[in-house]
Amino acid sequence: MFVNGISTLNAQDISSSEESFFGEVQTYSSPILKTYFSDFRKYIKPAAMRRMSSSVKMGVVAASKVLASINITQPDAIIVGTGMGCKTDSDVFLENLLASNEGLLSPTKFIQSTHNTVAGQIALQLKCKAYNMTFVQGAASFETALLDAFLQSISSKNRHLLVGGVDEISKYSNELHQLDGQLKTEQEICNFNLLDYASTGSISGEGASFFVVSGEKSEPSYASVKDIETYNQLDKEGLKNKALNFLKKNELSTDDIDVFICGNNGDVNYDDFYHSLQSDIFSQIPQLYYKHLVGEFYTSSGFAFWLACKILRLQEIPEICQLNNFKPNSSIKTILLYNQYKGRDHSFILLQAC
Amino acid sequence: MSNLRVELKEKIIEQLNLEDLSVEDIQNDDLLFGDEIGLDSIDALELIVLLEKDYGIKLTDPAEGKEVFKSIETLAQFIESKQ
Amino acid sequence: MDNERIVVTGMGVTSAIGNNVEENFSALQQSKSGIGKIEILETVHQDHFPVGEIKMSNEALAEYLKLPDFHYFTRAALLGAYAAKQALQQANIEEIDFQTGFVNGTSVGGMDVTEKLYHKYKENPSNFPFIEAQHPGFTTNKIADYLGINGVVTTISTACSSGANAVMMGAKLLKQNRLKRVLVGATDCLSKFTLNGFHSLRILSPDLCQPFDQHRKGLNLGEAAGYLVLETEEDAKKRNQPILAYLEGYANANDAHHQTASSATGEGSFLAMQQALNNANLNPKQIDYINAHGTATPNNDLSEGTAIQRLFQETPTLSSTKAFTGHTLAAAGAIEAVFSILSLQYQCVFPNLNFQTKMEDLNFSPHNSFQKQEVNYVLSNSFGFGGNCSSLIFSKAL
Repeated sequence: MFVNGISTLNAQDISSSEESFFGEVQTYSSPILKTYFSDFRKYIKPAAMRRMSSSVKMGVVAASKVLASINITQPDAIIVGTGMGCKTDSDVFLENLLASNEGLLSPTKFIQSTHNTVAGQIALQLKCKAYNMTFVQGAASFETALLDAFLQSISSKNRHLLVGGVDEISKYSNELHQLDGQLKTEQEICNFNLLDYASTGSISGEGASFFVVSGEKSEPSYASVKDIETYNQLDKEGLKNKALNFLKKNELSTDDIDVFICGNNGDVNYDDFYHSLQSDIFSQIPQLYYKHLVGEFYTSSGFAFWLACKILRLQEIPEICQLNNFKPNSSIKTILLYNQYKGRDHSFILLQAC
Repeated sequence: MSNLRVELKEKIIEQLNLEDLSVEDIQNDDLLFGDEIGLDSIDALELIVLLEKDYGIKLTDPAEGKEVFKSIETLAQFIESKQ
Repeated sequence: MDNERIVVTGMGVTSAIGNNVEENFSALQQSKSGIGKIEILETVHQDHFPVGEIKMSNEALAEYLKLPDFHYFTRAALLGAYAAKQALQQANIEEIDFQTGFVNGTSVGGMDVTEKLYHKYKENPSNFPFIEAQHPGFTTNKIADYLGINGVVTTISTACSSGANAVMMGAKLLKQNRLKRVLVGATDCLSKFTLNGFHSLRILSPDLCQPFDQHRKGLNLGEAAGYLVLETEEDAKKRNQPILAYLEGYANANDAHHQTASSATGEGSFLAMQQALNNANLNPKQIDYINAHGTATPNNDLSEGTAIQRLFQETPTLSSTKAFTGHTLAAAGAIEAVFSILSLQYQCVFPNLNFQTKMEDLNFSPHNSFQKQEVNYVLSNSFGFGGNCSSLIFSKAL
C-alpha cells in the first residue's frame, strides 16, 4: 500500500513547506498541548461549522488538506480511528442530563456524541457515499483503521482511501486522568523534558492526521506501507518475539531498519516496553520519539506515521525527535514504528521508501 | 420592534450557534428554514426545547412546528397566543 | 485468497427475548416480544418508554461468568462476554492463540458506569479503574481478557450499524489471511444517556414499536449482545466443524445526507444493498428474506422501504425483528445476523410484530407471522447515524 498524501494538525506548527518538518517548534509548560492550528474558517463554511466540536473540525480540515494536496475530490473510502470521539460534546450532554435529572435536553450534543461523527461529517462535507468506517480501539484506533485500508488496498488496488486518526482534548477527562495516573500532576512541565520526570502518566494532546493511501503508486508517493500488526496484550518477552517475527515475516532483519520510531511518553510504569526494544534489538540504530511534541492521545501515533512519511521524503530526521546519537544511513529506506498505551494495544507499522 | 421578537432572535442566535448572524440580520418575516436563515431539522428540535424551556409551551404535534417555526413573526405570534 | 468462502461456525446471543440462541429462536417462533416496562435501568422515564431489557442484573451476570469481586466490567462487557462465550463454545474453539481475532462493535461502550460515576470518581479510589471505561475499547478489552484473546482486537463504532460492520471487518481479516478465525459481533446496554438522547431527538415511541406501519410512532430501545465465529470454509472443513451458514456478501455505503436522518430516496441503504448483492454475485431475485433495519421511526422505515422498492422489483418476504428485541443499537446488526442465520437453518421467516396498517408510501407490507418457507439467501440491513449503511448477505449451509 502506498501513501500518496499526508496531513497532520496538532500542538506543533506543522510546516506547509514540502522541505521541512515544522515551523518554529512550540514549547509548552503545562501538561495540556492544544492544537496549534486555528484557521478552521478557511476550510469549513460557518453554517456547517456551527455544530462541530474540535475533533470534527480537526478531522474535516486534515481530511480536506490531504485530499486537496493531491487533487482528489472524492475518496473511495473514509476510514477514521478515534480513541474517544467527540468527547467534549458527550460530556456536555451527560452533564446536562445529570444536572436536569433527565429533563428536557437539546439533541445537538447527543448527535455529536456518536463516535463516527468525524467520519460522517467528512462524508457529508464531501457528499461522499463511499465506504465509511470508524475504529475506536484505544491506542490501536488509528492502526486498525490503517489495517482496514491495507486489506482493501490489496483486494482492490486502484482506489484512493482516506484514512486518519483524530482525538480532542477534554477538560474533564484531563482532570480524571490526573486521578488515575494517566496524566502527570507536576505543576509545571516542559514538554521537551517529557522523559525526565520520574512520574506516572504523560502529557495530554490532541490532533488529526489524515492520509490518502492506495494499492497503486502515485507520482510521487511518500512511502509504501509494507505491513501493520496489532496486539491487544503482550509481555516484554512476547513483545521482542513479535517484533522479530514481524520483521522476519516481511523478509527483513533488525539490520534492515534505518530508523525506529517509538511512542515513549514519559510514563515510568509503561515506557519499559519501549526501552526493552530500544536497549536490545534496536540499540544500534537511530531511535526517535515524538510525544513530547504533540502530547499523548489515543491517535497520536498518526503523527508518528506522518513523521515517518516525511522522513522518507526528506531523507533526514528531525533532531528534536532523536533519542540517541546514531546518525541515519546516507539513504533512509526502512522505518519501523512501535506504539502501545499502558501495556495494551501494541502496534508495529513498517514503512519503506518507494 | 417588539421585545419578544428581538429576544427570540437573540435566543435563536445563541442556542443554534449562528455566530455569523446578528439580531439586525434577521428580519421578522425571513423564512427561518429557507435560504434566508438556513435552519434544518436538528434546529427544529432545538426550537422545540427552547419553546418549552423558556416559555413553558409544549409542542406535541411536530406538524404544528412547521407553521410555528416559519419565521420570527409566526413564532412570536404563537407565543403571544399562548400567554 | 479473496475468493475464499467465509463460514459461520458459532453463534451466541443475549437479548430481551432470551439468553441464548435457542431461547431467542423459540421467542421468534412464538411471536413473544421481550419489550416491556423498564425494571433494571434506573431512570425517571421508567413509565414513559417501553424497552427491550435483559432481565439479568450485573451481579447475576458476573456470577455466571465467575468474575472476581473487583472485576470492573461494564454492563456491555458483561453481556458481551456472556454471548461471546456461547459462540466460541459452539464453534469448538478451546485454544485461543494469536491466530484468533476479535472485532467488537459498540455504540456507547461503558456509558452505564460513566453516567453512574461521572461526578463520583473522586469519592473513592476504587472508582478510578472505571475512568478508562469512557473509551469504548475498554469494554472490548474486558471481553478480550475474559476470553483470552490477545492478538488482533479492535472495536468498531458506527452507531447502529457497528455490529454489521464488525462482521464485515472480520471477513476481510480472514480473506487476507491475517487470522485463522475471528469472533465478530457487538454489545450495547441500556443507559440513561441513550434513552434521553433518543428522547431528545423525539424518536422514542411511548407504545410498543410498529415497524413499517403507517401509524408508527418511533422506536423502542433495547440491549443485547450477539457474536459469530467466522473462519474459512477450508479451515472449518479441515477440523470437521459443522458450518451454520455462509457469509456470502457485504457492503457499507454512506447516505451523505444528514447527521441523523436518512435521505428520502434511501440512497445509502440502496447502495449498501446493491453493493452487497454485487459482492455476493447475486441478483435481487435470489434474496428470499430481508431482515430489515426497520426501527419503526417515521424516517427510517420510509427511507429503507423506498430503497428496497427501488432495488427489488418484487419485494422479498421482509420483516423487522425490532419489535421483539427493541433497537439494540450497535448490537442490532449482530443479533440480526444471528436471526438471519436461524432463518436459513430452520427454513423459516420471522414476524414483524405489531404491524396493522400498510404504509401509504410503500407498495409492500412486512410479513407478520412465523412461517416455514424455503430460504436460501437472507439480506440483513443495519443503518446508523452519520449516514452509515451496511448490508450483510448470508446463505444456507450445504
